[in-house]
This record gives sequence, structure tokens and C-alpha cells, in this order.
Amino acid sequence: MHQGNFDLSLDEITKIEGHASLTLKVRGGKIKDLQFKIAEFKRFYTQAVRGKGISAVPQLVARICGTCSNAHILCSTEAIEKALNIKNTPQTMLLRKLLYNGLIIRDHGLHLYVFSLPDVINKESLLSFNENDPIQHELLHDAFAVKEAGGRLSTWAGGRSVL
Amino acid sequence: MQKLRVGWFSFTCCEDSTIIFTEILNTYWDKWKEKIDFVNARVLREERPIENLDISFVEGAISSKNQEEKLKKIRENSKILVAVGSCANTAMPSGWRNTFDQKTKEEIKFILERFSHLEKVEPLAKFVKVDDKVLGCPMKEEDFLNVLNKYLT
Repeated sequence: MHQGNFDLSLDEITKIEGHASLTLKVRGGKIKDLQFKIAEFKRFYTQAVRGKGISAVPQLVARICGTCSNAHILCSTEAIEKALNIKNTPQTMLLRKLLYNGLIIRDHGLHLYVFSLPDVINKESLLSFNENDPIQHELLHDAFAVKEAGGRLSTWAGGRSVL
Repeated sequence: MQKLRVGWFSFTCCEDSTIIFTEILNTYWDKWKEKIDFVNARVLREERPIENLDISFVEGAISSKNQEEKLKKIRENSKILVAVGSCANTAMPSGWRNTFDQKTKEEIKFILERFSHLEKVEPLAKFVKVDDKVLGCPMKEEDFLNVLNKYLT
């Protein structure tokens, strides 16, 4: 653990989704100031959907986030259905659940293996894992297998991995 | 054999093509590990200098002067620059604000000024030479592979 005084500045945080920066000021071993900044530029979807046909909205708002576009499309579809009092069949609801579960598996695999795991085993990237080390070899192959399973489930239930 | 030095960069967009790229690695990582060095890819590894790249794949539209300058730096340091996805090629859908009526433009004006947005959201070709394109929203996996395979010997 760091002691004493230091400043830390990360202009672009890596191994995350999106753009963000961080500045940290430590004095006497205690955090005196911490600023986490989202460095994305606004795309104004709130304004963009105004006046659009209701059937166009789910596909439009899916592009809010490419990581969780499946969640955005399902959420906006449900909102429209509730507004119009549309009831779905149990089969439709089951397919949506599987589509969503595919996203959860794929995205949690990405976070766990690609974003977090390199720090845990002191590697700067999943791509730097040593394939001659049995544990790192297994983790590397697990990473791609888990993500692949989630992507395939979403594709099977919803047509694409990223809607 | 010298590995192909590849960069992956993102500007204003939802980064859906980045996710497709990480999905493609599920299948192709093993085949590519001896052929490709993914030198710059913020989603995969720590920040490194942008230099001496064979191919840069760039997704997203350009929304600010800083982004414009970074794009030009990528161009200067890349033999081939590929615009990936709808936003990089057409500025849409990230550029919805370009189409707003005057009243809506007034409504969002303070945000554009406060955070130094460009007056319009622009595609990459507005600022730099684009050598190749991968279209789609998100990009089509097959089209990305076709473009990459052109440069993989």
C-alpha cells in the first residue's frame, strides 16, 4: 500500500468500456482528492428520439452502448409494449430471457477475463498471458470459450450477438 | 516473420464494433497470435505510444478538436487507415445533433460550448485519408475479416 504523498493521473483508463480519466491526490497516506471523469462526447439520444416512429426507437437507442445494446433494445421494447398494452407469448418472453442471459455471460466474461484478470496475475493484457504456463494457458482459453458461449446464445435467441 | 502491427482506436460512438472485435478474437486469436501484434487496443491492454502501425482500425465519429488531432496522429503513424462502422464512415448515428432543428440546437448549445464539442459531428474522411472501409452498425464480422486478410500475408 502506498504511503506518504503522491499524485496519480491517468488520461485514458484502459481495459474498460468507454472513455474515462482519473486524477488522484494522496497526502499523508490518505486520499485528499479523487476525480473520475467520463470523457465521452454527448450524442443526444434523448433529443434524437423525439418525433421518431415508435417502431424505430428500440433499434435507435440500442446504439447508446455497444456493450449492452441487447439490454437497451429489450428495455425500450418493453416500455413501448407497456405503453400500448401489448401482451407477449411465454415463448417470446423466454427467447428474450435467453438473449439477455447471452449478453450477461458474454459481458461478464469480458469484464472478468479481459479487463480484471490481467491485473490479478500482473500481466498488462490477456494477450500477454504465457501459454506455456498451465494456469495462464487454461485461463486464456477459458476467456474466449466463455465469451463465445454467451455470444452464441444471444445469436441463437436474437439473431446477433450485438443487436 | 515480422508480425503485422495493428491498432484499434475508438472515438465518439457506442463501441459496438469494439465488442464485435473482441468476439472475433474468440475464434481467431489462436490463428493470429504468430501473425498480428495488437499494439494499440485500449479495450485489451495498457496505453502505448502510437507509432509505426501497419494498419489502424478506427471506429467512431469526430466530435472535438482533440479527437481531430488524435485522428491525424493515428493517420501519420499508420500505413493503412480503415474506417470501421457507421459512425466512422458517415458520422451517424453519433451525429444526430447535426440534423436537429434550430429550437433543439438551442436547447443543447450550452453542453456543446461547455465541453468543447465541434459545431458538427464529422466522419473520419472529413479530416484524414481513409484507405479502406468496414461498414455496418456494428461492423459486419465478415467484412472486417476480408479487409484484415487483404493485408495479412
